[in-house]
Amino acid sequence: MSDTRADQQADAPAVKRTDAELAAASGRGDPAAFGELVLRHQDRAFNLAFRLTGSHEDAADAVQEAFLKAYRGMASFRRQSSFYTWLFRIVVNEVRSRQRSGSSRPAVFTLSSADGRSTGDPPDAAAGLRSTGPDPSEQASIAERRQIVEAALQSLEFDQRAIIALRDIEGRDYAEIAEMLGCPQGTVKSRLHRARMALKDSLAPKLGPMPQ
Amino acid sequence: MRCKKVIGQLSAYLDGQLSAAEREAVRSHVAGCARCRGELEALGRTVYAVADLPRLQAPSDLRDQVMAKLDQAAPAEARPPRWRVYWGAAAAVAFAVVIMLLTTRPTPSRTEPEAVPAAGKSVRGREIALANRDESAGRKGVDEKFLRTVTNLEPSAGPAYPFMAGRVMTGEIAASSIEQIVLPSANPRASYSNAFAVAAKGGWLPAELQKDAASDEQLKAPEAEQGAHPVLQFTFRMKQSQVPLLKDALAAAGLQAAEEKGVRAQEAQQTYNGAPRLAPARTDLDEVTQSRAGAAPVTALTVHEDRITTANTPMAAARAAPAAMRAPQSAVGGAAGGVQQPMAEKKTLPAEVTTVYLASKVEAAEEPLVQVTLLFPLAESPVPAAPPAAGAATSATPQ
Repeated sequence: MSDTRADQQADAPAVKRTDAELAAASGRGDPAAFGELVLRHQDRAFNLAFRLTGSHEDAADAVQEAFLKAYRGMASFRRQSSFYTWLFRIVVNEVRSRQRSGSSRPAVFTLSSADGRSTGDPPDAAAGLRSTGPDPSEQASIAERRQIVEAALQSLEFDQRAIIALRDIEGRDYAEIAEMLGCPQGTVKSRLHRARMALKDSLAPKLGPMPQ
Repeated sequence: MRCKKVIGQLSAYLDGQLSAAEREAVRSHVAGCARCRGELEALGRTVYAVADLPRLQAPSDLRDQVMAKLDQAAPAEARPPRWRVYWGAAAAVAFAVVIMLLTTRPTPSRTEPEAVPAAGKSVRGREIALANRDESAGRKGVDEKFLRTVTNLEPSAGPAYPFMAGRVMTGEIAASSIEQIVLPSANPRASYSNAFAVAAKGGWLPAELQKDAASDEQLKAPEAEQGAHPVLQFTFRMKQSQVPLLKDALAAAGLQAAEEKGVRAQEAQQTYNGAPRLAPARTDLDEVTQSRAGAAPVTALTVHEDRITTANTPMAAARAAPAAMRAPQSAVGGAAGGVQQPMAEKKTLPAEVTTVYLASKVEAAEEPLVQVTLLFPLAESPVPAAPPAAGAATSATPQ
């Protein structure tokens, strides 16, 4: 559930150190070990941050800062939790504090990440760039649906967005989420419920009958 | 049980977080309450819609950016000697100046290209919960319908860690509702292919679902040929040992009733006459079941060894397990009951098993994987005239 799982996420060379080993080495001031941890976890951390901020730039800034804080605070990383869980907690806190302090841009919806570009482009134009997918008009529908979902997600308050991102995007279980958010599991349960219901109310009229 | 209380539990219900008693209370209430059933369905769709959002990769320079700043961020545990701190402070000042000069630095990021299996890339949450499976399968019979959502099952992440990321969320909805099954696609290109629906209670897909489904690239294959049965096909890999659970899940959803009409693979191909690509000419087609009249139409389940990943799996075990699965069927010559027998045995699994880790820890690389292909017809009769489809030539089996 913890390090072993995280380890599986990365490429699998013949001999590889666990997250815990890398974290321990990082704590002793080994940048290379920390670099490996960054490599392993940066995509997930970035994806989470993007879902929390709705902005590529803010997500990148927040994740970068979160990694640096993790490095500085490696001494406080207790081995009871996985590095991943610990890192995610830092990422969430970083994004939250940035949004509170206003250092972040206001949450601006970023158009479908499906094509990796940000903002502004109409969905059909974005889809047209893809050579191998469904034809543009169909792709547009997918992009539009995602756009609706992303916008609805961004419209939630931060804590609700965070818990949905951790549960329904990252697939973490309640215990992990409780650890990441620093709250009891019961709170996770109730907050997640409220967040999903809020999102549902926002989405239901907009999305068709299919779980796209 | 009152609606308010039930609705308050739906989220946990979807996550398999209720006790057995609570689950049963919710289930029975939802079965008889259209409002709560609608809530459950809407909630399930919401959860799926979020889980279906594309994954992003970190900007390519993120790691370099982090590493460049590590000097200023020495771990507290390992403070360097004082003279190095001075150097570090000087470097920090210099670095700060550099940062100030870089007013706008590009932070390119991109999504994972959907067309390319994410070999070696991270996969995410990998618990597969086939919750409540045996409740309706065993005791309630096929009248109990499930809302069964398999979210975010990403394609193989490379031979060392194939398939099985994501979560299967299971809930139950009442008999009169649309039954939805959302399963992974081996072809991540068409996002919609992560989802498909079959009509329950003898109904076919509602028009709007049919339309959506038709936008799926994989659906064009059957439609491209005149006279073809439109069939949804989903191919993915899973651990051999979990295949019976999948079958149970299908059985619980009322998607097969082989005891009445079991057919051989060859016959199945004739059933799918006109859609040859969807009835792959695989000699190792294991099992085909045909549903009971009035239920969802033909469902075929094929399982064979995964050729991609067997290099990393014990071949003997990989072969032995499917053989064991085939045994009951071959004993009856593919006639009625061939598939149901092992199913019935599996239903004795403890009811409290609500979460099955299909890819837990390192066994993922050791246990044989099988490729599973699910075929779900979308209509009873062949398509009269094939619409011209751009993606028609695309193979329906991306493997």
